Amino acid sequence: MNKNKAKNADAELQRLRDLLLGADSDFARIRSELEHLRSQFADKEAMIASLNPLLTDLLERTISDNKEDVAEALAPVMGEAIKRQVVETREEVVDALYPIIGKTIRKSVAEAMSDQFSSVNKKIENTIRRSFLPTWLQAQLLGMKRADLLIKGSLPFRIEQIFVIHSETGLLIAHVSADEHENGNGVDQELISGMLTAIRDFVAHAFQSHDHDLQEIHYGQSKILLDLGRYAYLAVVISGYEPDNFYKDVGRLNQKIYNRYYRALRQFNGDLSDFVNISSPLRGFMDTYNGVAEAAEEKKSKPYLLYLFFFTVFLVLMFIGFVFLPGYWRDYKLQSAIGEKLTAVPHLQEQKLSYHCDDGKVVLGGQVSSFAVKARIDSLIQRVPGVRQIDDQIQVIVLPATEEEILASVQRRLAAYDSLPYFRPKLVVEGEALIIHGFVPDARLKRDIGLLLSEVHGIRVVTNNLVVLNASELVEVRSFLRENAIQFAARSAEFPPDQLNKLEAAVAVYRVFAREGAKLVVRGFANDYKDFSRNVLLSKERLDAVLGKLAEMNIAGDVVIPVSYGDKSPKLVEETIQQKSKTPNYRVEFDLLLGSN
Amino acid sequence: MTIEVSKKICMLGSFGVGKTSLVRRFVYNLFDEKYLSTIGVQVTQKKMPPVTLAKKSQAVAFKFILWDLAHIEKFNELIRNYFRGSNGALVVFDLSRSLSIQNPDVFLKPFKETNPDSKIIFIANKYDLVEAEGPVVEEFRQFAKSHQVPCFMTSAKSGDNVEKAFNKLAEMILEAE
Repeated sequence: MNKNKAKNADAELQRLRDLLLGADSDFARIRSELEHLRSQFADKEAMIASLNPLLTDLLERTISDNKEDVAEALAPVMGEAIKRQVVETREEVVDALYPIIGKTIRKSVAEAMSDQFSSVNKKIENTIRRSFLPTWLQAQLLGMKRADLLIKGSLPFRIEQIFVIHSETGLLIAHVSADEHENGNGVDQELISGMLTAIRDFVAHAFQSHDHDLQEIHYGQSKILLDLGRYAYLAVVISGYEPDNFYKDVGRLNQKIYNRYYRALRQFNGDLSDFVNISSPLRGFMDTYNGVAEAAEEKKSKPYLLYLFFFTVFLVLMFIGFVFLPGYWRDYKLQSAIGEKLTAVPHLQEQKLSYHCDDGKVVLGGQVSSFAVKARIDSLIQRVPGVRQIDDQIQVIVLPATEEEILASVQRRLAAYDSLPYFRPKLVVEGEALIIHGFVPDARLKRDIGLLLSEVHGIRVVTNNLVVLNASELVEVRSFLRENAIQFAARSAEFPPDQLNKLEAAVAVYRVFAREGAKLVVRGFANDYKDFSRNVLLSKERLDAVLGKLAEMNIAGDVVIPVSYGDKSPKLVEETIQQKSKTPNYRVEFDLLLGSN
Repeated sequence: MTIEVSKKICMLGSFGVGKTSLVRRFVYNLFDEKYLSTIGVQVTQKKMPPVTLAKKSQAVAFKFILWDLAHIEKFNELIRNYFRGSNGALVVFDLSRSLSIQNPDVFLKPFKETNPDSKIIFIANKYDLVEAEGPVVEEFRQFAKSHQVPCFMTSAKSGDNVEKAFNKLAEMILEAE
């Protein structure tokens, strides 16, 4: 028992010893580790190097997740620290920031200046271009220097917005903005118009200025111009320096709106449907002042070279037109007129003619069959208005023709005159000469027929023996001949000697016309008997008695047409049947037949 | 086709009755417990839903231009200028205060004189602060009846009846057109 106790005590003692000795070795290890850590901590650079990745990652994550909290926490400390740093080391801060901020500022200023220069240049250009008066003259009239005038006109100016506001209610009627997408910086235009109206009313009340209205509100670089109308007022928001007469122009715009919409304005109840297109004049006004129109114009006028080319082409065409076209046109018309003139004349179409005009000079060419045709063509063309000169190069080629061909050609040409009274011409062809006899009713016709026949192919000379005998003269002649009828004794065919003078008178008249181919018609009558056959026989006997006398007077038989009527021709003796039965018809009368047949 | 017609509406009432709060609730659907007194006038606008009347073929959508006027202590020409051209007015009262100190005549009479054809609605605001259908409410109903004006119990805080009151005014204006 005791042995066991002693054994246990040794074991406990040994454990205690182990524990104590083991702790010593642990302490020694811990001490050495502590020494190592202490040395590491003392080496700050090594410490930062080891912690840097961890801390960076941790900070990035924290800032990213809680940006606002971090900013809120750091702001006071950082702000204060930066402020203090700036105060204490101003020079260093300036030096540090200069490369960054200086560059930014320089760039910004350069861009602003560039825009400004561009604006000023454009304004000067517009000022010069817009006025019809030279700037020096404008300056003289305004009593200022030209440079001052140009500078004044070139100062930056822009209309930002235009409101049309109903004066009484403050309701907005129309609104335009220089920036189409701008919407009053988020402020409702209705509210602006309402508040402007309230401000206007307030100012008028506050300063008891019933006779005067609020005309301008300035804020910063901008101002609002108010122009009061009868029912509505204009509020024009501008920036920069308004040009001369701008107020007057705003007034004119207001008046223009009033003139166009006065009914709608007077009855305005909030309904804007009566103000259709009211934005157009506002937009036009704004664009005019903001140079949008000029800019568009400028944009359009860029292809100067193209314009110059077209302009040059236009000038050349105009020159050609002015120089050549009138002459060409005149000659064209002249040629047409000549063509019409020639085609209107029968038989000329048969000729091989050519003609052209050159500045009023007519050059004729081709071939014709006679000189008469050539002369006639010349004569016709001479009478065409606009003909200055005729260069007749027509060749006359007289081709030989037989008498039959000539007569056929003449008859064809004379066919047009078939309807004329007593026009039975007698034609004689002698070689290349044509002789024409007969009667025509007037002198002009005689000439025309002569000319016409002169153009007959194969004829060189026409002898025109046509006699002008008008209708009344012919009637007179025929009447004279009838009055000189030979009166026979009853049942007698013996030529009464007392009637010889009548026969001679009739023959004398006949001889005048016989030269031109006229024929004497001799008609015998008898109603002496009741028997017709005896009357016919007696009339023939009387006719023969007269023909015998005519033969004695050398009147050839082939120019006399004897006709025996007995008592059956009351028509020719102009007697009625009744008269005939009572009145003796014992005569032989004369008549004239003009023409070859 | 709907035609849009703008109408000028004045918000009238004594100070602190909740005119601005009602406008804020109606226009922006917001409410703020903080009280800021209106100086002069504040203009806001609200587009109303289109309405088609039986006697009219076209639908009309009113755009209410709300002129929230500051408390009118004493009527003057400036106030008349503000009133001019109004098509309607919402006269606001505070149900939590005695009616006797909220005399509307100081602005209601000149408003009617300036705009004889305009439509008026009484609004008893802060309905949430009083006993529902209690004696105060009944007193106000009688008061509105005596003026022959339609009335609405509203709460700008909860939004109760706010929309209804404005819609009623729109309806009255449209009917009168």
